[in-house]
Amino acid sequence: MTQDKSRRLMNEQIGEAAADWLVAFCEGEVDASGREAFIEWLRTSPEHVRAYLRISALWEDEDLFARSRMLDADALVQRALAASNVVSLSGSDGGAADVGDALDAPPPPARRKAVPRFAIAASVLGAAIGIATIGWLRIDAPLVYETAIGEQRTVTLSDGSTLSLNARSKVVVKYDEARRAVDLVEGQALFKVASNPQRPFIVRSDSAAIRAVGTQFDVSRRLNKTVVTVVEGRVAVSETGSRGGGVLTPRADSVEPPVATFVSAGEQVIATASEVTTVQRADIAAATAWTDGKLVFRALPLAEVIDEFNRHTPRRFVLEDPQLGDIRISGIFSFTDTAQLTDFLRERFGVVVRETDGEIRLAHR
Amino acid sequence: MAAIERSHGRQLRRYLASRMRQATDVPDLVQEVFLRLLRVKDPAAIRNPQAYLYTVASHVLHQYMLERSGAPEAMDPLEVATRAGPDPVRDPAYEVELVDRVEKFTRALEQLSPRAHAAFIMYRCDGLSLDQIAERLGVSRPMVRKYLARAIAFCDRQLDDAE
Repeated sequence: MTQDKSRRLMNEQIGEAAADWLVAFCEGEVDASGREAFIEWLRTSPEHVRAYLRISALWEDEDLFARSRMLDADALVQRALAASNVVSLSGSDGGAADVGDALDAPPPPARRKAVPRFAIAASVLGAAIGIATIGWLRIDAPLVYETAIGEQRTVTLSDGSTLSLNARSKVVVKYDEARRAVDLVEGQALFKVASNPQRPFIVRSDSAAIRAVGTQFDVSRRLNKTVVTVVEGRVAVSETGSRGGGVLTPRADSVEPPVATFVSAGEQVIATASEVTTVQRADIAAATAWTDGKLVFRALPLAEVIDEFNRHTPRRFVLEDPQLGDIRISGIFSFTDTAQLTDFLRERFGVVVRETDGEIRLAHR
Repeated sequence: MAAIERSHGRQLRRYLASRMRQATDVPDLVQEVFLRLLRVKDPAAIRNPQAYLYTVASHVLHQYMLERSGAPEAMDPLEVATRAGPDPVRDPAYEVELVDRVEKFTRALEQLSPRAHAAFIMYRCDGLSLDQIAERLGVSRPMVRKYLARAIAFCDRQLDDAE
């Protein structure tokens, strides 16, 4: 038995002992001698203390139980009885092995619906071939929309599509008969695309091209990558291959590279100059929280958090200590409230905050 | 916690749970709680050992947060009380961490055996007694306790980031 394994087994035993104490307290079984035994058990090892505190926290986590989707008791009992008819031949003595078997039973099939990816690919590719043959007849003058620090705006384009620009962002809109192209030069935008299969909607950043027909998606251009989150419908994402590009040259004749990643509602990909990551499940509320004046971070390095804040606040955050940039931040912040972030950093990470008129400087203690 | 809940309501209970969780994330804090328990001279005198443990853990965590925030040791007691105000929802990380826990917890429940899953939910959420659960599942009462202990410990492990 490896050391890891024996350690894990021991942790399991401690966790179960802690859970058993918890049930005993719930049942009111713990009398004076039980109380002493409990204290003695805690005093045996810090691992016992940790296990009991954790299990109490789980037990008392009202929000967790309220928020988790649970089957009701009747359904659970029915399922349990149905399952026991099948497997419990060996469990008639009610021994521990039965519990073990039962716990090791394979999980129920995943609830996720299978997406017919083949069908999606075919339809989007069909649209792509369509444009290549139509060509374009007229080119509108490009339109530039730009926002300053702390400014957000929503624009309705000539075809009825809308784009919401986050702070310190810039897009160039180049519509022609064949296609609706938007270059995201800086920052982040949420696109709600009016459906028109004959005229695909294409968003380009330095590292990605996103092709949509009619859908809603968010594109965020970061330091060396572009994050694409689909709210509704589907898009096809491909890397642009234009390395390190600042300005985007419109490659009018280019049919996008045939290798595209298809991203559906509720999914997200990250594109760099050389690759598009595999599709991941996305937290849509988090990705679009900026449209409600909020920032949602999930284990994001402080360096990127600060970059995001600096988009919205006239007073700049500055890291005096580059190492601080690696701290992972999780939380929901209002981007008008810098004190919320500084309090958080002070309390959670012991960061020293010095504020001047123009800057908020962060340092190690 | 039952007594605490009666006197201070659900919010404090939620606050305490969140505090317990935070305390267990820092090994030094668990060690400190352990050492304080070892220093208790007359364990038999502790009437409510659960509440005692929570209180010790809460103090240790509070001390730690004060040191972290660089606040002076001797603070106005009133300020201490308001700073530790029972509102974990004001913590920006609370919601994100909750979503994370819900996801892990839901997955953990799905991995439990149907009987362990049923026993856990009926006991914790529906308030059924051990005997009632035993009857509905057609197993013995000690068996229900085994299911509960296994299920609770399993979910806890799945929620533990350190693993």
